[in-house]
Amino acid sequence: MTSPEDVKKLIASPYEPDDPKGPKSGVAFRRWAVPVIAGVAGVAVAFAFLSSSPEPESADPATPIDGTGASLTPEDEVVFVAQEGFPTGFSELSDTVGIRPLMMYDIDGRTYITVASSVTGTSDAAVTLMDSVSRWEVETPSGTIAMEDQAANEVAPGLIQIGFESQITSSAATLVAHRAASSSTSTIVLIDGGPTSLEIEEPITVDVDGVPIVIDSLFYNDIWGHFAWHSPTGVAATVEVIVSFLGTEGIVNDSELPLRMISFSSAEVFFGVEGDFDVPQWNTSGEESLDRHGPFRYDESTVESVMVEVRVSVVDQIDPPALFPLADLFASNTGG
Amino acid sequence: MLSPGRAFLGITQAEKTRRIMRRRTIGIPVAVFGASALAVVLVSTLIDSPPAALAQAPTSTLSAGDQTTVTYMVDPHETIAGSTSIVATELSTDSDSVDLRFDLISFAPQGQRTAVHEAFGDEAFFGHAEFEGIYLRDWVLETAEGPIASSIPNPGVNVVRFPVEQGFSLTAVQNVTIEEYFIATPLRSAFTLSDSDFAKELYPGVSIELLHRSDQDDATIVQVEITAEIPMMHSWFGIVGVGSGWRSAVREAEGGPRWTLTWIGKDLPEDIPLEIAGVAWIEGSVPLHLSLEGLR
Repeated sequence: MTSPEDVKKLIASPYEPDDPKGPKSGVAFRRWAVPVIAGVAGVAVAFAFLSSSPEPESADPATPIDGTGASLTPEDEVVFVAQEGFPTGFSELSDTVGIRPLMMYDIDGRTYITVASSVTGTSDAAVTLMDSVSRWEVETPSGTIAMEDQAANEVAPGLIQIGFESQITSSAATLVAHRAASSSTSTIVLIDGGPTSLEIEEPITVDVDGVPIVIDSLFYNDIWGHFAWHSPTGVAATVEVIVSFLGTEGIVNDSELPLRMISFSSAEVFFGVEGDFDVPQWNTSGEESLDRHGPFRYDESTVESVMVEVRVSVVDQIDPPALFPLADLFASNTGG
Repeated sequence: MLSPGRAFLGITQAEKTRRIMRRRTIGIPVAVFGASALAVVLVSTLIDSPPAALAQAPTSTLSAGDQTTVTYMVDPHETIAGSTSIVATELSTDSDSVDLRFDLISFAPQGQRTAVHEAFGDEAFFGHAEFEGIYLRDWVLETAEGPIASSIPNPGVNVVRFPVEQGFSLTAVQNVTIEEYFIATPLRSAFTLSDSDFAKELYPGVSIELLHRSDQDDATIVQVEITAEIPMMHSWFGIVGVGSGWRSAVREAEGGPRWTLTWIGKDLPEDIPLEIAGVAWIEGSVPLHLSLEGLR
């Protein structure tokens, strides 16, 4: 893992000396250097003036090459300073993460906005967690447009795509982020000792620290499953369902191949390792497929029991809203 | 070969111009008669002070009207795209090409990603650990002899080669622009397809089409195909059905553009509810100007 010291070295300007107190800055050096250099300096300086000429490696001052596209005149003095806060264009979402609306496009009557994020110039990006936003909105002069969905993915760190229920047409629009300051998580055993195939169409309500979450439907069999949920009070949540076929773990069949426990889950479970690695994608409703996890062979006769668990996180505190104007996206429709 | 050198780094164009002009006008007489005294003062001053280039850093005493402050995340000559700094690192030439190498350094918060790699290993499930999520495909090198276009065929390649005639000199290089680039973007959106509305745009440059919808004894089989005008990674995303009637969604093959979905029963709605979820390249539309100043 990159250490903070490594990051400091990484972001250090090549202008900066590796060791500002190097040997040539010492008093001892001055004692011997001044008389010696002064003795030969007359010849050296004269030679320097005689041989001086325009430096061949320099760029033409009239045609500067600048990453920002800005034009500088020869009279301008440019001072480069390592960024301590967020980069230009990024605004604070939290103390550690800034974001910038990056891209926007319309598909099928809906608008999708992608935001990019940044750590501060003095932070270690490798260990900084992306903040989660429980609700995004777009405020326009004619009203508020609600988020329909948001997506984040470990493959594209720091980027979040937000889908809105209608098109955003006003360049005066502002993206509003309600950051989840804290949340609570509960795992509830929904069914213990269930059958190997089940379809429930009657809603089931679970309670998470006083917040009701409704499982609208649940289906699973030995191939896959599906569930739908909603939050009747509008509290943002994430909901995962895990279906475990108990009793098959550790069994070895005739060919010495182990039978693995069948598990269908919407959670991040990889080969038996489970963890919360994604940025929470809060919403007030959703539906998910239950996918098989891990290699296995299925033999129904070995199944002793089926357990269905629901893991629910609810946002219990949000920060004051953070605002991000979208005018730049209307000018370019995408970021650079 | 031009490579980053401290001799020029940090000295502005204005300062360089002033230095050149100063040397030209003072002339030989001053050098001859004032050399010794000047040398003593000059050497003493240089030894007590940092090099001129460093002394010009943020504490410069020039008036505010003459001074422009440029902040940077990784390198003074970086170009930022999304959450990534692009930094030119080397410009070189051989017999038939000019090669420009560059670094891509993300400043996005990557704590979750770090946790994944620590838990599962860098490349077991998630590709290369150093993947930066940006693909700089099409480039134009502006030279005194005219523009030269080139492309990088695959993501993850950090060098672009511009074809040139033998004898081409790097002093003719003026500018470089990234004309087409793509940012890996999370994606999740629901849509419907039907026999009458059988094709949809999924996101800019990528569409999906309903190829077949066939009723069988106890199921309906749906096959869709994705077409793309831009680069895409089929393994990065999935097409799934929305609703509890779906039983499977299978990609044709690794890298294949077709998906086959199975709906149990014959009551599949006329408007077939589907969803795309994962990560996709999304094209940036603003050309990026990459600075070569760090190499001069």
